[in-house]
Amino acid sequence: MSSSFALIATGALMSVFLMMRSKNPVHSVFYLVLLFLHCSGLLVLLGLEYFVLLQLLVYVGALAILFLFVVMLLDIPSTEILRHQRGTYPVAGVLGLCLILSALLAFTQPLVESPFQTSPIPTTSTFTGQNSDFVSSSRHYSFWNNYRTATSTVANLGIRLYGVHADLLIIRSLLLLVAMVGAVGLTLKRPVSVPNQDVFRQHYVDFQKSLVQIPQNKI
Amino acid sequence: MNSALFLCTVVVLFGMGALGTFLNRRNFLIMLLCIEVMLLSVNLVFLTGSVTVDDLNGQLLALWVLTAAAAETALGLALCVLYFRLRSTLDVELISLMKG
Repeated sequence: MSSSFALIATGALMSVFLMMRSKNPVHSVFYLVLLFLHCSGLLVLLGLEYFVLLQLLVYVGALAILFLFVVMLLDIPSTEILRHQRGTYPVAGVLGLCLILSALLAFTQPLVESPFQTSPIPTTSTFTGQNSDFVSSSRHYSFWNNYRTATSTVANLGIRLYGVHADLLIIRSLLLLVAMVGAVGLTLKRPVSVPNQDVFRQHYVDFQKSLVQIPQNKI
Repeated sequence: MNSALFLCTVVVLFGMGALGTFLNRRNFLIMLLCIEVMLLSVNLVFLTGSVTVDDLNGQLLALWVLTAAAAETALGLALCVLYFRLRSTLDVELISLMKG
C-alpha cells in the first residue's frame, strides 16, 4: 500500500465523516468539495486523467456550486441540529444486509467463470468493435477512420461514446432535459390572486360561442 | 496498486453515505449530500473495475452515473426549495404528513 493512497483514502473518509457531523450546511458542502478533490486524487492514482478532469469540472464546478447556491438561498439556521435523530432502523438494517451480502459476493466471485461476463473491450488497444465494418464502409465516416487505430484511452472512449453507443448518448441527453424541465416546473411559482393574462386562452376564444343573446325582459 | 484496497475504501465510502441517508435523517440537504456521496462511490467502483479488468464499459457506465447524479441533484434541490417554501424548515422528521 503506497503512502499516497493511504493519505488520500483517509482524507476522503474523514471528509465524509465531517460532512455528516458538521452543524452548518455550508461547512457540509465544503467538506463535500474536499471529498470530491480526494476522489479525483484516487482517480489520479488509477491513471484515469480524463475522469479526473471530468469529476473536477462536473462535481466541484457544477454540483457543489449548485448546492452552495441553494444553501445561501434558503437561509437555513444552523442550530436545528441533533434534536431528534430517529432513523428508520429496519429499512437500514435490510439494506445494510443486502450491501454486505453483495460486497462479499463481489469479492469472492471468481472472475473468469462468472456467468455474468460480457465481452471485454480493451482500454488501450485498437478499435475492433462489432460495428467496425459499418465505420469503414461508409464514406461519411472517413473522419472516424483516423481514430480506428488510436491507442489512447480517451480516443477509444470517444469512439465508443459517439459511435457505438450513440443511442445511449441520446437517452442521456433526454434524461438531462427531463431533469431541467422538472426542476423549472417544480420551482415555478404562479401567483394565484394576481389577475394575469393567458395569451393562449385569449387567442383561442371562439367568437361564435362567446356572444350570448340577452333576453328582452332582462334589459 | 492493489485494487482490493480501492474497492474496500469505496465500499466504506458507500456505507457511510447510506448511513447518512437512512439513519442520520435530520436535514433534507444533508440527505441530498449523502446521496451524492453514494453516487460518487458507485462511480469510483465502476472506474476501479474498468481499470482492473481492462474494460472500457466501466468508464461508459461511470459517465451514465455522472449524468444521473447531475439530474438527481437538480431535481432534489428543486424539491428542497419547494419544501422550504412550504415549511420554512428543512427537517425531514414530519415530511410524511405531506402525503395525500
